[in-house]
Parts: sequence; C-alpha cells; structure tokens
Amino acid sequence: MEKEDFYRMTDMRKQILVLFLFLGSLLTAYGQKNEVKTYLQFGHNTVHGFYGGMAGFYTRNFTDRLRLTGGLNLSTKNPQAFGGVSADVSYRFPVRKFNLYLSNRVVYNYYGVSEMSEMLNRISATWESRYFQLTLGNSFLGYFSHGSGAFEPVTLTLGMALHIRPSESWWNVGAFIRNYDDFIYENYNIMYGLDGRIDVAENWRLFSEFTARPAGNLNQLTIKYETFLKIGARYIW
Amino acid sequence: MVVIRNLFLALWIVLIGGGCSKVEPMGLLVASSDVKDRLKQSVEFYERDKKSFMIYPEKKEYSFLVVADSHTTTDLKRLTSFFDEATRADGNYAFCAHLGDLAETQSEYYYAVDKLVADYEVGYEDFHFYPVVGNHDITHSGWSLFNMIFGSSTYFINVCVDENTYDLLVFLDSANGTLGKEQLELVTAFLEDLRNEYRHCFVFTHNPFFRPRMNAYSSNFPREELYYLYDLFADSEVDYVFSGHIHAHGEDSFRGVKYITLDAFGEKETPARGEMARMTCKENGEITYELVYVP
Repeated sequence: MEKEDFYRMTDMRKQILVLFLFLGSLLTAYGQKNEVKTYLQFGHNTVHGFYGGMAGFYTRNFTDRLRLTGGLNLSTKNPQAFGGVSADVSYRFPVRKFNLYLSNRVVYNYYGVSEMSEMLNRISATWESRYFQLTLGNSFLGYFSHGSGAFEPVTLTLGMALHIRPSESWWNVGAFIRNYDDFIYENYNIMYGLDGRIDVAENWRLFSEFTARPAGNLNQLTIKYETFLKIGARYIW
Repeated sequence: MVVIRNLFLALWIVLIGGGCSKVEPMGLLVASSDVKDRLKQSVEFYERDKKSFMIYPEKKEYSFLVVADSHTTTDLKRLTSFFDEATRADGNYAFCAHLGDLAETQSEYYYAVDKLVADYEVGYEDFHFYPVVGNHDITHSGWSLFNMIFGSSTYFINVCVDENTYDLLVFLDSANGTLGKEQLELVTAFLEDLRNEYRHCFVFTHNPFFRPRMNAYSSNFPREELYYLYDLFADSEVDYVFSGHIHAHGEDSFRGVKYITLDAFGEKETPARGEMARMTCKENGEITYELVYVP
C-alpha cells in the first residue's frame, strides 16, 4: 500500500468515526428519547378504489421541548410506490396544566396517477390538555405538473381530538375531526374518525385509527370520498 | 347532565330543524342526495333521448353563453335578461349553459324557472338551455325537481358545425364536491375513447377547480380528484372548463387547459351585476372569450 493511500484511508476512517460520534451524540447527548413509528394503511377512495400502503416516522427529542420528526409514505395509489416525505419541527411551551406546541411542517407528496407534485409548508399551533387537543394553522400549498403550477396561500388547518382517558393512561380511545392527515392536506373537506392506543410494554405502543374522508361537507351534501384504517406500532428508546 | 341534555337539544335543533332554503345543516354530516343515484337517472334520461342532445348551429361560426349561481327565488328579471341575450337575433348563439344553483330548492321557484324556460323554447325554435346541478339545487331533496324538469345533469352534447366538424360539450354533476367513482369512470372513458373525433371540447360543472377567493368556505374537489381531473382534461386537450359555486371570478390555466370560474349571476342586486361568459367558436377554429354583464 502506498503511503498516500494509507493516509487517505486514515482520513476516511476519521471522517466515518466523527460521523458516528456525531450521530451517537444526537442519540444520547441529552438522554432524551427517540421514537420510531410505523403503520400499515388500507383504504378505499373514489379515484383509486382499494389501496394499501405504509408510512414510517423517526422522531428525535432533542430536549423535552424540542423535537424533530421525519416521515416517509409509500402507497399502492402510486405506480412508483413512493407517496411522500415530511419533516416537522415542533417546540413545546408548558402553560399551567396544558401544553402549547408550535410546529412547522414541510411535506412533499407525489400523486403518481396524475403526475402531480405537491409541496406545502404548514405552520400550526396545538393546544393540548389531558383529554382534548386543538390544532389551528395554515398551509402554504403549491402543486405543479408538466411545467404548470398553482399556489394556494390559504389552506387553513383545523384539528380537534377528544379522548375518554387522560393522556398519561396506558390505553385510550377517542374521536377526532380534522382537515388533514399525515400526508393529506385538504382545505374545506373535513375528515373525522376514531382512534385508539395501548401501551403493551415499557417501550412499545400499538395504535389504530379509522378515518372517514368525505367530500362536499361544506356544500351541505356530504358523501363518502375515502375511508382508511391505520394499524401501527411505536417504539421509544 | 342538564348541560349535556341541553347541548344535544341545541344540536338537534340546528341539524334537523335549522334548515332554510339556503341551508341544510344535516348535509354537513350526510347528503340528502348522492351523485351515484343522480348519475343513474341522468344517464337513463340521456340514453333515452340521445338525439335531442345534438345542436346544429345556423352558421359555422357560433357563440354560446355561460352563467353560474343565479339562486333564483321570486325575481326572474335577471334570468330573463340572460335568456333575452341568448335569443338576441344577431347574437348567433347556439346554446346557453347554467353551471348550477339555478334556483333555491323550493317547488314554486323551480316551477317559475321551468315556465320561463318553456316560454323561450316555444318562442324561439333554436333556444337550447343546458343546466347542471349545483349544491343549492338539490339540498332539501331538490334533485327530484331538477330531474323532473331538466332530466339529466351528466350528459354530452354534440355541436354539429358541418358534416366533418363536431364540438363536444361535457356537462358534469359535481354538486357533492366530487364526481364520484362511476361518473369519473364514465367521463374518463368518454374522453379517452372519443375526444379525438371532436374539434373543440368544453366542460361545464358546478364545483370550481381553482379558488379565486381563498376565504370561500365551501368544499372543493378532494386533492387527488382535483389533480386527476387536471391530468384527464390536459391529456384530453379540453379547451375550456367552466365552473361557479364560489361566487368569485377567476381565470386560470393549467397544462394548456383554461379554467373559467364565474362569479354569481344572482338575482336582483346581489351581486350588483350579473356576469356571463360569451364564447365564440370561429370557423377557422379559433375560440374567443369575453365577459358580458347585465344589470
């Protein structure tokens, strides 16, 4: 081995070592928890008929207030399977017995059948009590395809969730209404559904959500557009 | 317990008893009319009498008028102005179209509109009026009225310019804020199979595609359906898509297709003037578009 090659390899090893040290520091520096969440999704809608898919999210809690989440969505709705990616940064402000979260989310969705790319940046605030959550915000949404595009500066976010047990309980069920989902951001089409979760071990949680996504509810002529079921698990370490 | 009971009572009053001709609160949860059922009746009517869905303009250059959201109740003056313009001797109009919310859902309003249309049909041999349903046409089970008077809300019209030149008019029912699976399949198959047999193609429907007014609290097509329709219309080389519903004017273009969202035509002084789109298909294939207003 030539001397230069040896030094180059050493440099590379150093770089890899530094990278691992950096990642390790992210994982352990604050002694905070990481989360991985994944779910399978099955549904039926007007455009695609029956479909399936899955999504995965990794959350890094940098402190007990600041968290960063990245997500990936795969769906049989798209011939290419890729559905979208998201990144969300959120900061928690404790307010007496409640929490107020400010969040900024960036999402890219690809609609394969119509060859449409959609990008949005959502700024929202969530007020959280032990039983109730309210989210309000706005998305700046643009879509483009084959050189054409449009921008919607106002796509309001509204979400409410109510659960029958306090948030620290090891199991809970509840109901929600909202005009968004992890990779869906509607304007005035309101979705509603039921959710439930159970902590099966110290680090493991199983959860499920059933969502009805109607069309035309603000036309006062609500009919079914889509229904879907999510079944998933979350692991914390 | 008393509070919960009173809340349920209030909710019941709002949902069941709170409706007027403009508002049907129960429709926030479930529709009184489903596009799937309406499509069935519309197509039955269309199949029964296909021949009447053909227009033969007098000249190779012809015009047509489009309005939206007249919300007619007792004052027919503005709707009469629309029909007067559509039958103007030198107007060269082949037909006129209404993009829905023609009248509020009460039988007396509809009978008045029906009588007005019948009067013009008797008075003018070449008077062709083509409406589609809007959400206000069919809340409070108004579809039966619309169906009885106009027959169909999903249909295709052939404009026979000469023996080799045909234009296609596509009327779609989007009152529920979605075309529904069956209507999507129907229009997709029709455009994919037959579009290349026509020179121009115009689409008429109630629900808008773009949102010229961001604070209009009305439902749009769900995102996937919106994007699907953009793609379908672009691939099918549709020339113009007309819609209303949102009571605001907008002109947009996406992948070569022009989308005209018309302001409410209204009645009386709401809005201050009634907006009409006048389209002209020239012999050389050019299409011109202008806005015309009536007081």
